[in-house]
Amino acid sequence: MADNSVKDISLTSRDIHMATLRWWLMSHMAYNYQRMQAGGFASMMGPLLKKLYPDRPEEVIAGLKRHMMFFNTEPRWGAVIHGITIALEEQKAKGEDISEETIVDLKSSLMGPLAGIGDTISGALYKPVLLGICLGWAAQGSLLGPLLFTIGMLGYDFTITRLAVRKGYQLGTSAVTTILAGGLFEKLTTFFSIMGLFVLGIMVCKFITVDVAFAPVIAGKPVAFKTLLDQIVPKALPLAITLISWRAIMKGYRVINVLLCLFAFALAGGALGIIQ
Amino acid sequence: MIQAVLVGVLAWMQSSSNPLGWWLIREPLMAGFWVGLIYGKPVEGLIIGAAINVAFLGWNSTGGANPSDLYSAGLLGTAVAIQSNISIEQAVVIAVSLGVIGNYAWIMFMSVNSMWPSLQDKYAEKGDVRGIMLIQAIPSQLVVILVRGIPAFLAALYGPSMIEGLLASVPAWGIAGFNTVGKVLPAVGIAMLLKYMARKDLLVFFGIGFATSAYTGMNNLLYAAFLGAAMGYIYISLQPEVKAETGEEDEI
Repeated sequence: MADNSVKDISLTSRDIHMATLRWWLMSHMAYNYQRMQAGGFASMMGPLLKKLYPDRPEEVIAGLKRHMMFFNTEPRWGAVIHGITIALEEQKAKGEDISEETIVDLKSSLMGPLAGIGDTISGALYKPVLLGICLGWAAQGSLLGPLLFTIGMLGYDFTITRLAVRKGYQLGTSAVTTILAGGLFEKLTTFFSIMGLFVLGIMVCKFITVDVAFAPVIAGKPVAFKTLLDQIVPKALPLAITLISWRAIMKGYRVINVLLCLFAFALAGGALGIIQ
Repeated sequence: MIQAVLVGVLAWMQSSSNPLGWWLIREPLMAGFWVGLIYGKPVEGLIIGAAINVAFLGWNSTGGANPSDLYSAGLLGTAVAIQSNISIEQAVVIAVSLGVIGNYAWIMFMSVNSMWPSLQDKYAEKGDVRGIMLIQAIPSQLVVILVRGIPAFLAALYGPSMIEGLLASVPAWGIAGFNTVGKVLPAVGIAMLLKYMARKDLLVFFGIGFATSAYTGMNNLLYAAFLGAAMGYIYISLQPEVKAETGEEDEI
């Protein structure tokens, strides 16, 4: 419409950087059931829209409205969407034929898959492994625990967000296919899963410290079940409790109910002197 | 009193919903350390926080069903435990219970915040970018102070004497049961993680980890992470390429 006024409205890398920072700090500040992260997205896009449409306030308004729509993803890896959206908005402002629907559809269709990827890597793989290591130190009273955890998490959080926005911006619409292609993601999750599962197996022994205390006196001799059990499978009780809880959660029992059952089991067992 | 106020402020900053709050204070390990510092026992707080944290290993903010609230469990659990001379196992039990109540703070936060988008819509209508950003950043903090800061202040002030009185009235067998609960509860955290991580074809690595530790007593987790990484690398290297056209090797 207004393609006669050819001003240079290209975004600089500083613009992208500031947008990243806004998203990084504000994504969840007003997190809510109604629109989840929409306010954060609009806050990130707002200043960019103003720059892209210096003399067309109606376009800024339209842009703000489309970015106030429901949005929710994992804030770090999901920021690829933000990069792509910024690229699309820039192209659109420059007169490319990109419809409002394209942008909104793209956001809504990508937020799910990227949340899946992000939650898996951040929430289920990276954080627990780092946390596990740091907890080991912290449990011994070492300040190395909190220190390494903070550095490890903050650094990860910021680096991934920044990389994701930049990659998304660079690659524009073809971003996701590029990331998912080549089996790189598959390999990465396999690697982290193996590492995570191995560490988890050790955590069972380290953190669940319950033991059999039941030692009935038979024919004048106390039979220590603990010693017997330890000769066959040491730490069998922690393993059994973990596996049963896991199966229950997998079968769809609510976590709170599993927790209550364990609570009751341990309270009774401990009070009766069967386990300790 | 001042210490209780500081705990309240910590509770607010912890839940201010940005990466600084998440990684500096939110996790019980971190909250324990800061609360300990407030009460002049950082190392003790750290140890209690770490113990509480194990029960939240699989805590994922996106999951709908949290066993209990990570924020209040770590912060209030440590605040109460450090003042009332209870065992670490008891601290874990109290923390997880406090967290069950704390879940409501999260629901309140998300519900009350649901007012803001409608306000932001109005600013969008006017093209007011500043307005949208201010709404995004400021009012939710008042909500946090209301649903997290003030309750934390009250719990830090009155909680310990209440808990101590409660524990004093429990018989010895009850205390024994209570202590066992603290030793068992971490299983929930680990089971939740297992749910996220477990892939049938890779489950054997969980078994290897368990067997290694159970039979040798090795439980150094950094060493474990190195071993695990090496196994992961070997496993990937031995797998046939998914498609021969991408020769990308992931260097980790």
